[in-house]
Amino acid sequence: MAVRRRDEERQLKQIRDLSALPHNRRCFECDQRGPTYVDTTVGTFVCTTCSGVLRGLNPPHRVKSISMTTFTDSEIEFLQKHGNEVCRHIWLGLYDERSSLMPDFKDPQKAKDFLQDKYEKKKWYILPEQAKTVAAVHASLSGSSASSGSSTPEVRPGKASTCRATPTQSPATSRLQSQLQLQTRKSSQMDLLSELRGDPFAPSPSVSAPPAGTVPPTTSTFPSFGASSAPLPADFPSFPSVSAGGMSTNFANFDAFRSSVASGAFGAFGKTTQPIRTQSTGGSTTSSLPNFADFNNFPKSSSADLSSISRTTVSKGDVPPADKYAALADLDSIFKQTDTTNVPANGAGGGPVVAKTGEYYTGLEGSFGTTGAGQTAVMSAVSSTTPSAVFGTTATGGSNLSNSQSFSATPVYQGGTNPFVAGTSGAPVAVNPFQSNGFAAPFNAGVSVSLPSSFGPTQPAPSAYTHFTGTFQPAAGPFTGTAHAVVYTPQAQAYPTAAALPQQPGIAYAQSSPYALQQNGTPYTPFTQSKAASVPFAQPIAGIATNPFMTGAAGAVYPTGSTSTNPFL
Amino acid sequence: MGLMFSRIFKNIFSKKPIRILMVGLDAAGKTTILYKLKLGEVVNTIPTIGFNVENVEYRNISFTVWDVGGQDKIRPLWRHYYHNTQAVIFVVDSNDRDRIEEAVEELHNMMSEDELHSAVILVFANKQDLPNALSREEMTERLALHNFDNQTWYIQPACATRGEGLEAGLDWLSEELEKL
Repeated sequence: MAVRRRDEERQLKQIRDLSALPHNRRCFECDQRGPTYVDTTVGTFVCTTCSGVLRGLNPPHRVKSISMTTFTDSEIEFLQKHGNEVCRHIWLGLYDERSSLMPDFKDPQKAKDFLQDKYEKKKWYILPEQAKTVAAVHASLSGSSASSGSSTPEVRPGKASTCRATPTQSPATSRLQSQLQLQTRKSSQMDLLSELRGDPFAPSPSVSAPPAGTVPPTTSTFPSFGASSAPLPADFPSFPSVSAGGMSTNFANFDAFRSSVASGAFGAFGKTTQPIRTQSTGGSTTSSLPNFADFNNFPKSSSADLSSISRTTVSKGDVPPADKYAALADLDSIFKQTDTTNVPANGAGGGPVVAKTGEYYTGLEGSFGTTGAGQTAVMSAVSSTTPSAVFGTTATGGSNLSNSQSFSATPVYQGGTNPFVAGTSGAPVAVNPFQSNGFAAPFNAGVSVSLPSSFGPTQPAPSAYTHFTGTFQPAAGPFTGTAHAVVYTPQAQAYPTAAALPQQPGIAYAQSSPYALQQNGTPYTPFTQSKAASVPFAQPIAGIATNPFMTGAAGAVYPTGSTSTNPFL
Repeated sequence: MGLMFSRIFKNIFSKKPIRILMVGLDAAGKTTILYKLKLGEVVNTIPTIGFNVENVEYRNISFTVWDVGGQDKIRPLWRHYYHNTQAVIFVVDSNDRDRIEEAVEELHNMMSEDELHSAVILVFANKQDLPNALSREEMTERLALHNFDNQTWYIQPACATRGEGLEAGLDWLSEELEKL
């Protein structure tokens, strides 16, 4: 009896200690001070009122009063591992505090609706592993803001060359392969898009005309998006795992990510891009990679920033007519070339990607002696998920962009065999996600995927278009002159896809088929043909609103990246 | 004649007050049941600290229902409500299979108390709307209700939020209590 009492006292003290932690001092749901209950289902501290709602959910959450129940050791351990801070990244991982208002918890119905969205519909849910990475990113960001320079200095500039070794391809599932291909294409296309932004959109209507029926007009407007989004997020979750040395986790995450929370990952991405940017602006030779590494360094996650990405500030300002893109058609020949080169690399499939990442990792470490293993890991993760898109683009972007000197070192990536380099020749086009405004990168990826659709004649939803412009424009800034010209041609084709919704994985796959052809060795026929393709913009508006990536519109969130508040800038 | 008259009088003017204690593990649905009976609507409840008490008129019987908080550290307080209790409503979350054993323990501990030896037991197998809910038969088995040799018991599947099963339970109660 005495022993039990002692246990209870110990446990009570543990619980009270936990509840005294800063982030546990307020109700996880309604932010009321002094939570008196614990939600042992998710591991949070909540107030009495919210505990009542939580236990009424379906399935019900188990809530326990801190003072009127006894806890088991496993429950306490669970609480220690979770708590309000961790759970915020999980259950509100996609929640944009700035764009969406917290409901009025004094209205029981609103509170209940909100909690149902939160837990039953898992509206803002991110897988815990992913949430961790995101949290880490946030932390790094916040940390960087506090002391901006600290993380970056660790990276040693000029050693990026080691990265070249990267490509080792291993067999991968067909699915992965297709995805990868898509991604790679995206990257190439993305590049094109980026160029387009820079491009004045010289109007040549003839180009816009869809050449062949190969691409069904009905293709979802933004199919590419879904696909692209999926890969990007995947990278994030992999972060931790990567550092551990095992890439397998990344892949596992893939599927989950797609289905569940692509946007969340993206958000992270966007942010990451910021830090990179700053470095590039600095003109230091440090590659983007080191920047990534920084994220790991930061132990804590700041509440901040995922939300920023999800914003929907679309500048509907000037949307150039689709026809203008047609002008780019001339470049098709170039495009083809780039594609073919890129494709083989992609063909390696998911498996290869992993291997590559591994290599990257090693290479990076070698080069960046100072950067922690964790940092390199991050890099690899990125490369793996959005291998072609991210890396390729970045590499190319770096080379192309005058702004990002850091990438100049990167040429290594561009090696023909290197899967990550989307189109070595075409590379210049690459929209470097990191360099350009963060959003631009994810966006572009999406665009590239949806090759089939073209902006051309049938643009049902101009709004979608505007959306694009918003994202693209920011990118345009970084990319100056010469590089654009080369890249552009291929990109014109890519354009159509821009609006793909993240939640349309199925579509993405459908598109993969054309790529499959490429695998077989056939040159990008689908691509070339599809250039003119019908315009699938039907969904534009919806896509925009829901699509976190799109919403990220440059103008609102990132445009001011240079603002004083941004530590990186 | 006098007897008959008194019976009529009793039926018309006096609703027999019955003292009912409603207990069960936390989050079983006791408060929801209480207010569903009282108000006919589902209220947003919070975990009960202490108790709620309401008079519920049903079939000429006035039930005074004491709904006592079920969190484990305040369960010892249940015994303070035993005195003069004629019926116990024990509410179980049919969907919470992990805590069935805990519920069984509480039920049997309570019913072994002298003060409740003459009380009838109504078990609400609540939350039947949830997919994983135990059936009446499973519940009877798990709760070892057949072990109550000397006490009158009845198990009623229920869904408090929909109001299903609650009246059936009170019907049984009123029938049993009229026998007393």
